Amino acid sequence: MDRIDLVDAARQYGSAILRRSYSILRDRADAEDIAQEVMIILLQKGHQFRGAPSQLGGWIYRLTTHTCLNRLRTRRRRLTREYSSEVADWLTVQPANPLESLTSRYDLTALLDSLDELGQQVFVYLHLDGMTQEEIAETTGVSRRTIGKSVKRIEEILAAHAEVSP
Amino acid sequence: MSHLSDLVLDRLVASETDRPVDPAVARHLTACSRCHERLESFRRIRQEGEETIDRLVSSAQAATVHRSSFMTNESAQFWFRQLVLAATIGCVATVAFVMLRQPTFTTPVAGKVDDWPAEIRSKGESIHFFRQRAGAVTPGMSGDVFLPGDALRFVVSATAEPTYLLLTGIESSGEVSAYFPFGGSSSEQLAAGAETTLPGSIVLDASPDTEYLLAIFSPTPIHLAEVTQAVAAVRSESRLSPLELPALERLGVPGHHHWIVVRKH
Repeated sequence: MDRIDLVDAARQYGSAILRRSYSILRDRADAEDIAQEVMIILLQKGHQFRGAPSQLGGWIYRLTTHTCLNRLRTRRRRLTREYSSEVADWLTVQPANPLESLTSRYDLTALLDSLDELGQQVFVYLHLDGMTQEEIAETTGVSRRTIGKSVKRIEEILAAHAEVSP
Repeated sequence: MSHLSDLVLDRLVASETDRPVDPAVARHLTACSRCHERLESFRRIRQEGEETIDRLVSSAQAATVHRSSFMTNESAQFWFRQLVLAATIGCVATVAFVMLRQPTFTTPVAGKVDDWPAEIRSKGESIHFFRQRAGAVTPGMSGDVFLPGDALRFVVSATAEPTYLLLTGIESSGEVSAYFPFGGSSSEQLAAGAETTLPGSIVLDASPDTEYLLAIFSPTPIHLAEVTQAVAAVRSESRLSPLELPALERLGVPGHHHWIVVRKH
């Protein structure tokens, strides 16, 4: 696939990349950043794609999901700024409750924390995109059986979350 | 057949001028109003976003072409290596400089400090901060370089009654967090005339971006959403490039603004 085709692909799937990024990140600026990043990778590394043209959409989906999940992890790192116990005695003032405001606001984050990288992708494909397990297997390049196991694990985690939530 | 996934719909929208629609998908779309409506919404999103997509593709092309032409020229590669070498030496020199100047800041502070930076004390309000690193507590200066794990703690004072404070952190990416009240959605009232040490501290993460801390002192509460929206507007004007202080200083949010620039190593 040459450069012209890749530019066409970026235009054809641009809207899908942007919409999808926004669906995952829920932030317009972040979504545009991610779309830009995905397009650059597509133009730089798209020639390595060896599948049929009809599979290019799946490849771009996987790339977008991966990039969005990376951004979520970065966000998560930033959100873990916390009240440090090491500085509790600074200036003889007691700090507020370290866990205050950090709990219950990031259920999705907590959920993603419970999953490995494949599980995170499967979760997004399953619950955000409404993909079937066959489509997830095709998109991720992982066997249908492994996807089935991952889906089962996600269902268990969701059930556990439902039990602890009020 | 279950409903069509986003992937199927996106493929349809992306390639409908190139390939005929799969007969099974076409039948489903005829029979299923939900999927038909979703397909129409995907088409609409594509049409409405054409300008944005053109801009993103053009920027991506520019970035790729620049890199490609740069890297295919042998001479350029030689100079690139020289540049990397020079940059490495520069970085080492910078690190050495920072480390050498550190002793002037590492005197542990017990209790209060009098020599606060003048630029963050005005109009009867002030905000100072301490940095804790490896057990040593030192006064912080706006513009200092900080390391991951450094913890910052703030002391504020106000003379007017009532005075509300909202302390926010603004990433160069435009992300806004509330540090006082921590995780809150609007300003909190300060005790007039007294110096108040804000509860808790911020522990800096490993992200290398510069962060801008904005303390807003105001006679009435300010909502975090006002700051978030104003930052989003500035970021939009800057065409999504990383935010910098001159642009942020134009934030249209009421109150007295005090900025602290936190550069991260």
